[in-house]
Amino acid sequence: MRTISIDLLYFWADEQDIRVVFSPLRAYNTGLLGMADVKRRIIKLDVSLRTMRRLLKCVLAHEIGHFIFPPRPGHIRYHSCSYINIDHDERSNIKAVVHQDERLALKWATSVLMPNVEFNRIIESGNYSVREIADHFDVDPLFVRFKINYYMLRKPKTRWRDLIKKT
Amino acid sequence: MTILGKRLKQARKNKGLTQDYVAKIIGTTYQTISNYERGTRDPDTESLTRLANLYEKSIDYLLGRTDDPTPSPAKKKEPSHEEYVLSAKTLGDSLIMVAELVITKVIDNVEAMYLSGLVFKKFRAMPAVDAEPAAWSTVDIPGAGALYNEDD
Repeated sequence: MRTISIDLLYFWADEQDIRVVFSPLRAYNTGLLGMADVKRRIIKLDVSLRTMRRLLKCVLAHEIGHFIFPPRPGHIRYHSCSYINIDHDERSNIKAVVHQDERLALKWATSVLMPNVEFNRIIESGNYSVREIADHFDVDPLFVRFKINYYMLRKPKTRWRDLIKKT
Repeated sequence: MTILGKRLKQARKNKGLTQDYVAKIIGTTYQTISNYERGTRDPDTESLTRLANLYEKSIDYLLGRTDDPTPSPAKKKEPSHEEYVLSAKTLGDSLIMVAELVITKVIDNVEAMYLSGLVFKKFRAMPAVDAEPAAWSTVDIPGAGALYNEDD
């Protein structure tokens, strides 16, 4: 099975003049694995990803997605320390915009690593577990779950148990 | 009368042509056309092709292998990989197309790099769709600053 190599993702970043650096992001935020600075064209990845190749690929694709769909007004405010001081209504608007941006980047990243043509073929056969699909596309199982959720959005009446083999 | 003869006659009448006229076009005599239509003689492949083109019917229809008289359209030229990935309107879609080609084993990762290079070249030439400066502006919020600073 041919998969998207991490070299191709680095190449895409390089073609867009994006610098990819490893930084101890988790020292600042426990759950932070990567961040994209669109203005300075830097992608920062947590140092722990060096030992997790599949997750590194997924996070890198997601951060490149932020350059494909640049942040809209309010994104930086959301990540600012005075976000809590913003008026409640405005705060919820900003939050919605930020989450939309995140979804755009995530959807793009899952489409790149697991293109619809192959993913639909796999998922409609119903003979694969999440782990097997992850092995098939050489991605992290977390990303497969995101992709299945996007698939189920398009086909609302499908059930998880019909798509995924029990392990 | 065979099915071939019946359909040849029907097609000629639909076109409003005479046997004499058809014979002249095909390059034969009207007796031959008459023999084809009566089923006493079968046309050779070249004559059959000419008749099918003249009557605008498919050869399969004339031979009775199908009931669909429309001739099959000429096959469209398959777009090359370059044309395929460059046909997308956005950078994101183009890159997804490149990824699709890789996953479906049409191209390998090295060829994907070449194609992506073309994609970036195309979209770099286009006016950049950049986020508004307000996206990273913090001036309208007194005291606001990025949580994470590069100097940290």
